[in-house]
Amino acid sequence: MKILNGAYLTKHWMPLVASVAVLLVSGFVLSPAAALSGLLVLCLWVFVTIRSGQEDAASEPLCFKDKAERESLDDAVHGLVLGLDAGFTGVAHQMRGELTSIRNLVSDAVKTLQQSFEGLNQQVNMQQAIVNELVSGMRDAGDEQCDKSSFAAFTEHTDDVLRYFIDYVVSLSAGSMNMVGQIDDMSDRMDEVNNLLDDVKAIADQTNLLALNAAIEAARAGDSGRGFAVVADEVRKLSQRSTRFNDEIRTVLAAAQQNVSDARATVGELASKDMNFALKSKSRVDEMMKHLGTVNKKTEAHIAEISAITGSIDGYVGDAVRSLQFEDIVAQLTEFTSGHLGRVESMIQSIDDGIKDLRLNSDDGIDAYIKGLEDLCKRIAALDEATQAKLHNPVSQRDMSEGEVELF
Amino acid sequence: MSISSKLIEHEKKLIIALDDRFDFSCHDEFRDTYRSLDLGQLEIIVDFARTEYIDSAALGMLLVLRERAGGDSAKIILKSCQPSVRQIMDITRLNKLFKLSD
Repeated sequence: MKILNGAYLTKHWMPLVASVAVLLVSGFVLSPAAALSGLLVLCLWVFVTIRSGQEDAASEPLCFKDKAERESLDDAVHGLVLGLDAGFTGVAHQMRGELTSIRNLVSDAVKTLQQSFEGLNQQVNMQQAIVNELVSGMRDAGDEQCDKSSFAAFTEHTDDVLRYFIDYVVSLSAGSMNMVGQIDDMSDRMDEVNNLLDDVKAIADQTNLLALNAAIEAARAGDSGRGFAVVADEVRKLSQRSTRFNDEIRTVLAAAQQNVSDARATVGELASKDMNFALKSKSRVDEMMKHLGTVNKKTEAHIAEISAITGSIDGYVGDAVRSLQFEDIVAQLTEFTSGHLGRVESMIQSIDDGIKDLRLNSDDGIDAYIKGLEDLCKRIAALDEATQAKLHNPVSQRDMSEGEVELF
Repeated sequence: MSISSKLIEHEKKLIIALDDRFDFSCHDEFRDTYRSLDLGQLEIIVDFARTEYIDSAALGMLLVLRERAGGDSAKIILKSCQPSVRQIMDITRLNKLFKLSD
């Protein structure tokens, strides 16, 4: 039996090219089911070729020797188809199982990823909110509501307290200096009193002298002067008492002057506050305000940075969530792969039915048998084409990096 | 603590020259320079050229002088204040109540 000869190849090149093309394309597409269908067509074609080759080599029409020969051929072909069916059923079952596993794995993973990204987004937004709160607590010196927590408001308040204290010290000093003036005036009055006491002393001394003179005159007058002598004596005693009072008054006055002097010194101390404290404190507060300004600026810059980072995290999360759409694509692809399995199954079914029909054909001729097989080939190819058209796969993408994902 | 003063009658000016410390111990001397005068009519110049230290008592004395000279209508010039003295005038806002000149 000549199997494949050059003459036959040139005559029947089309099915071969078609099968090889299908095989290559399906191989390229990595769809085993499509490859399998191509392989199947190729098998059929080889079979047909063998038989046709036989036909060309012999010039006269061939016939089956007898019914038994025909039946053995039938059985062989039928056995081939059954074998194919059995083999393919096993493969299809496994493949379907694996496809389901893929779908489930992908589905679970995507769910987990979605939850993760949602959680991530939430956390990032919470962080941003906290940062914003932190910052608004430190800003805004004029705001009444923020007054308690605002650092700037506190610094301003400190400045106010300082100012109040300075004003108080100055006005206290002014009042004190006034008081010192009044104390000095009082002191002058006391000096005047002291001067008056001098006059009083002079009078007392004079009186004393006069009394002395009177006593002497009284003594000269003898008996008649005795009464007068007593009077003179009394006057003398009075003047002496006067002098003693004078001295006492002077003593009290001196003590009073001392008190006044002490009071003056105390007031002086009260009023003499070194002003350097004010200068130092003021410059400290001014420094703090400047520092606050710097801190504020830095904080603003940092917030901007954090916001930018939050923004880019949002971007990354968005990208990730978008790419989760691959689940849809995987679902579609597994659907279509299942569809291809279906195609092969229906093709095998068609072959089986076709072979059954041939069996019923009572025509003896091998030519007729071969033609029947060729027709069957064509019918199967046509059916598959029709089925394929229904299964058209719009998923043209093969990987995620190709660009925009179509939503369907 | 020696404070000197000069009254220029025809210009109606009173010049009070302070020493290196202007504090409480200067009270009597300072007061004596203007005590007996009719200050309402005069322009008073307090010369701080030699003064390096003042305390709150000094500020009090200046304020008492201002009161005596008519308060808001007083004409008082603080002349030649050194930087540290100037600072104190600024912080206590006395620079708003007195005219400061160099």
